Amino acid sequence: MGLTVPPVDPTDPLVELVETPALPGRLQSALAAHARWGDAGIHLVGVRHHSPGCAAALAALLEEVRPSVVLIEGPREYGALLPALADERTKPPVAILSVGERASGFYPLADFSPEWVALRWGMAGGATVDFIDASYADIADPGGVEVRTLQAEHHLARSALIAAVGERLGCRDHDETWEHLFEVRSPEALADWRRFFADTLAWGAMARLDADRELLDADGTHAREAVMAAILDRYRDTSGGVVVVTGAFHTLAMLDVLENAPEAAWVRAKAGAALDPKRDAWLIRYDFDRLDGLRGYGAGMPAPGFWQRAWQARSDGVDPRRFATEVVLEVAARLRAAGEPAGSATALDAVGQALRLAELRGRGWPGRTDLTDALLSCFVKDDLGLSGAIGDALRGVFGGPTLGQIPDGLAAPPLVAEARREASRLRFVIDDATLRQVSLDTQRKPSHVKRREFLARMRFIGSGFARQLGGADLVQGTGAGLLFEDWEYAWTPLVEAALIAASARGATIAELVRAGVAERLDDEHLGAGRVARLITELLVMGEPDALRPALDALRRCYDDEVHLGSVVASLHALVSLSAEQGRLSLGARGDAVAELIGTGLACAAHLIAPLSGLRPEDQPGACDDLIGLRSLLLRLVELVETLPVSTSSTSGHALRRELRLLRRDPRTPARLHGCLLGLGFSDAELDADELARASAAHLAPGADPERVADFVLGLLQAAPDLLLHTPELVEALNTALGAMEPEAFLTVLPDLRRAFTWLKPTETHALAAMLARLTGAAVTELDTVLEADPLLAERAASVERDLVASLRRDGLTAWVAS
Amino acid sequence: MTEPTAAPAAELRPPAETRYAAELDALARADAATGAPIPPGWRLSARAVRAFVLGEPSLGVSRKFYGDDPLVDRAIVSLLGRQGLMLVGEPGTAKSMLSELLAAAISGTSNLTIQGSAGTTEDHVRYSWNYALLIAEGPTQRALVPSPVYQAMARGAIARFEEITRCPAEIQDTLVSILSEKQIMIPEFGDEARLAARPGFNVIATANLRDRGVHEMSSALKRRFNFETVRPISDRAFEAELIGRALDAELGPRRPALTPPVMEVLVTAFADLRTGRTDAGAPVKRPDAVMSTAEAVNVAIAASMAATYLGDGTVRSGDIARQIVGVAQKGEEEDARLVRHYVDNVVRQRARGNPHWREFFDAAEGLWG
Repeated sequence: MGLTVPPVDPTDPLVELVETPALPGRLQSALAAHARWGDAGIHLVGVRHHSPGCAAALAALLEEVRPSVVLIEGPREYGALLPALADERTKPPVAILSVGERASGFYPLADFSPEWVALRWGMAGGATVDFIDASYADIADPGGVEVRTLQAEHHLARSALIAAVGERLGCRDHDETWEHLFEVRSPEALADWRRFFADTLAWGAMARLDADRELLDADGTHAREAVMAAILDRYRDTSGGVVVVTGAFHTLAMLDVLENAPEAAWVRAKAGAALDPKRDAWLIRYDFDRLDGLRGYGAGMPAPGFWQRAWQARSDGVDPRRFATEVVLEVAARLRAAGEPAGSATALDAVGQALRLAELRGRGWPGRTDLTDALLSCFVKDDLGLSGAIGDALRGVFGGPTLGQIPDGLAAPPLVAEARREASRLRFVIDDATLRQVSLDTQRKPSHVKRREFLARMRFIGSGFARQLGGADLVQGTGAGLLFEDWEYAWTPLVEAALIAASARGATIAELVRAGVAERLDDEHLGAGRVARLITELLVMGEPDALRPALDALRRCYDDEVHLGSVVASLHALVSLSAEQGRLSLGARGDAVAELIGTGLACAAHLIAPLSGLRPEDQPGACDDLIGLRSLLLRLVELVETLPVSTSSTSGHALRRELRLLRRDPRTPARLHGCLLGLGFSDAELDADELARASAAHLAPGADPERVADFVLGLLQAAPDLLLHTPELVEALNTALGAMEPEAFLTVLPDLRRAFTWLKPTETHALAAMLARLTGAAVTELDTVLEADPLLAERAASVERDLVASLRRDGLTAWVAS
Repeated sequence: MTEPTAAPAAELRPPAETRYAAELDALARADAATGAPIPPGWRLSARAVRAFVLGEPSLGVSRKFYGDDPLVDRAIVSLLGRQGLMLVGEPGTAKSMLSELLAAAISGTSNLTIQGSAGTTEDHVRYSWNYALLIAEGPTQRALVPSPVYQAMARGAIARFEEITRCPAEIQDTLVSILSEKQIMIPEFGDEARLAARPGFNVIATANLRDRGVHEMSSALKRRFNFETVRPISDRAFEAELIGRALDAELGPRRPALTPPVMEVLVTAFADLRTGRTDAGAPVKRPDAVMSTAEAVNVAIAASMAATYLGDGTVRSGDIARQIVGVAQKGEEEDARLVRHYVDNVVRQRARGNPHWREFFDAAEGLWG
C-alpha cells in the first residue's frame, strides 16, 4: 500500500478505513443486509440532519426508486402539518415547534435538509408520507429546561471510534471528519446513493457500537426506535417500495429489527408504546443563525449559510472553482463594506488556496474548512485568527438572519395561552383591556411575591402587559425601606400581538426570559453595572435558574471593565441581593454570588492604581466611586456572616491595600488624595497627626492655590465633619489660605465655596467659631442678625418674580432651576 | 567554511534533512511507487511533505509537529502558490522548527537561511561581492557572493528568513520585489542582466509580532505573504514534560526536586497568564510579558537555583511565585498590576483548597505590602 492514508480518497468506502478489531464482522453483515433489504424494496436511509450531501444522494435515490411510501424520523403528530409543509408558500428555513411541560423542541428544516427533500418529493409525487418517531410528549426529556432540537446528534459527536478516524485523517473535529468523508464528494459520487448510504450506515454504526446500551435505554433512544420499528412494520409490505429516512445513528437498530437479530432485543423490549399523536405542533419561521451548529444548536452541520450555497451551486451544476470564487467574493464584499481592504488579488489567491487545500486533503469539492482555512491564510495578516471584521464577514456569509416563510392563517403558538392561564391563576383581571393597579406586599406575603414575579416576567419579555409605578423597586434600587410594590397592568390586543411575535424567539415565557437574557448579554457595550442590574431583574422575576449565564457574563465583565464606577455599582447591587433575602430568593446561587463579590472586589482593586493618572475632569466622579467603594467595604463587614469568610476578608484586604498604595502615591491628584485622607481618617486608618502630616504637602505656604482648593474639595466630599474634629487641620488650612495672593484666592474661591457646601449649617457654624478663635475675632460677632426694610424685601421679591416669568417666556426655564 | 553535511557526527545539531534522511528517502520512494504528482521544483509530493511533518507510521515517519494539523496543510498549500509563507507567533512556539522541516522536505535543504537581526543588510538578502576578485576580474559570476535567497532562486528551493521583524523595515522590503517578480536584477553584469527564480523557489519567514524591539512590517510585504500563527503548546502535561527535560539538560540529573504538584503550579500559572483563561474557563488578564514555555523553563531554573542556594534543596511554589512576579516585572509596571490581579483573583480562590497554591499566594502577597 502506498501513501494513501492520510488523507484518504473520500470515494473509498468508509468501511476500509475502520477495519479494526474493534469493528466485528457485524458491520459487514449489516451492510449485506442493508443491500438485501434495499433490493427487496425497503430502503433504510441513514442521514445526518441538514446535510446537503445526504439530501443530494437522497434525491437521486427517490428519483430512481420512486417509492410509494416515505417515512421520516420526526414526532408522529407532525403528520398533521404535512399540508402546511407541502404548501407552495412555505419556504425554508422553517421549524416545527413542539411544546412540552418544561422544555420545548424545534425541528428545523432547510432547503438542504434530507427530511425536507423527502417530504416535498413524497407530497409532490403522491406517495404516502408519515412521521414515525415517538410523540414529543414521550420523548421530551423531563430533566431538560432548555429550548432544544429534536434532531440531536450528540451520540455521533461523542463516539470515540469516529474521533479516532478523524484524528487519523487529520481532521480537527467530528464535523470536519463528516465533511471530509461525505460532503465534499463530487456531484457524481453523491449521485451514487447505494455507496453513499452504505457509508452513512457504517458511520452511524461506528457511533452505535461505541454507545452504551444502558444509556440508550435511559435516554429513550430504544423506546423511540421501537415506535419507528412499529410504524415501519405497518408499511413494510406496501407495494412500490418504502424509503425510511432516519438519523444514521438509528439505521443499524432498524436493520437489526428487520433482520430479527438478537441485538434488537433492547428495542423489542420497548414495543407496545402508544403510537398515536398526543400533542399539537406549530409551524414557525426560522433562520440560519439559529440553525448554526457552531452556535450551540445541537444538531446538524455548522455554517448552514455555506451549505445552502453549496446545495444551490450543485443543483445549478456550478463547478467547484466558481463556487469557491463566489463564497470568497462575498466575504471580500462584506469586508469592503466594513471598511477593510480586501483586494481582488487576495481574493483570487484565497480561491486558489481553497482549491489546493481541497486537493491536498483529497476532496472532490471544497468544504467549509477548506474555505475558512484559505480565508485565514490569505486575508489575515496578523496573529489574531478569524476574529474582528473577517470573523463578522464570515459569520454573515455562513449564517444570516433571513427568515423562512409560512402561509398565513396557521394556528397561533401556545405562548398566548400560557400567559392568559398564568394571569388568571394569579388572579389578574384579563377579561377586558382596562388599566388596573395593584399594591403588592412582597415583604411578607409569598403569594404577592408570585404575582410580582409574573408581572416582572411579562415586563421583561416585552409584552407591554405590566409596569411598576412606585413603592419598593428592587431593580431601580429605590424605595428600599417600603413594604409595598405598586404596579399597573392591562391585557390589551397589543399584548397578544407582542406574544405571537415573540413566539419565534421562545415558545414559553421561561424560554423567552432566557432568550432575553442571552440577547442582553450579547450587547458588546455591556458593563458590570448593567449585568448586575439584569441579575437583580432575574431575581425579581423569580428566575434563579436563568442566573447562570448572567453570572458568567458578570465574571467576564469584571475581566474587561475599565470603569471603577460600574464595578462599584455592580458590587452594591450584588451586596443588596445578598441582603434582600426576604423579598428575593437566591436559591442555590448564593455561593456563586458570594464568589462574584470576591471577583468584583479584585477587579475594583485592580482599577484603583490607574486613578493616580486621572484627568481633572474625571476626578469628581472618581471621588464618588471611592466613597461608594468605602461604603461597600462597610456593608461587606456587616454581611460577612453570610459570605464565605475568605472571600470577603482576603480580597477586602487587597482593596484596602490598593487604596493605601494610592494614598501614598505622590502622583495621586490632590482631589483624590484629599478624598482618600478623609476616608482613611474616618475609618481610623490614620490618626490626627498622620492626617496633618499628609495634608501639609498640599497646605504648605506657597502651595499652588488650585491644589489647595482641590484638596479641600476632596477632603470635604469624603468626610465633611472632619475639619471640626481636627483643629490642627483647620489651622493649617487657615494658614494656607491666608498666605495666598488675593488674585489666586479669588480664582479658587468658587471651588472653596462649593467645598464648604458639604457641611451642614450647624457644622458651618461650628467651623466658623473655630476660625474665629484662631483669628482672634469675637465669636458673638459672627451671629449677625440681618434686618431689612419689609418694603424693600417686597420689591425685591416682585423683581425676582418678573425676572423668572421673563426667563420662562424666553424658553430659559433651565436657568431658573439653577 | 566547512561543508555542513560533511561531518554530521561532529555537529552539535545537524539540519533536519540530515537527521531525518532515512524518512525523507522512504517518502520519496513511496511517491515514486504511487506515482503521486510532484510539484515543479519539489523533492516530494505535497502529501508526502505533510506526512513528513505530521508522521506516517506505515512508512516509519515520525510526527514532528503537534497540535495543529490544518496549519500544516495551509502552510504547504501556501508554498505551492505565489505567496510566501510567514509563520508568526510568540517566542518558543516551534516556528523555526516547522520552517526547517518544510524546507528540508520540499527542497532537501534547510540551510538557505538568513538570520534576521538589526545588522542585516540588503547584501545579505540579495548578493554581495568578493572584493579581491571584483578588483582582479571585474563583476564576474565568480566574484559574486550569492545570498541564501539568491541561491534558493537559482536552485528552485525554499529560502528561510528567520526573525524577519528583527531587520529594519527597508531591509525586509528587499523581499517585496523578489517575491512579486521572482527575479533579482544584477546591473553590474550589464543591461537587463538578472537572475530568474526557478520553479520551487519560495520564502518561509518567521516573525514575532509582539516582542518589544521588533520592526513593523510594511503592508506591501504583508500582502506578499500568507500568515500562519503557530500557537503555544496547549497541552499542559506535554509542556510539563518539556520543562522537565529542559531542566535535566540545564542543571543535570542532580538538580533540586521539582515535585509534580509544584510543576503543575508552574505550568498552570504560565498557561493561565499566556492564554488569558484558566483551565476552568475563567478569564485572566494577560500581561504583555512573554509567558512562553522557554520563559517557564527560565523560571524553573531560577527557582531551582534559589532552592539549592537559599532553600532546603526542594523547589516550592513560593519560589515559583517569586520568579513569576520577576518575569512580570521585566515588562512595564502595567504587567505587575496584571499579575497582582491574577494573584488577587484566581490564585486567592485556588489557595483555599490547595496548599501549593496557598504557598504561591502567600509568597506573592508578600512581594507587595
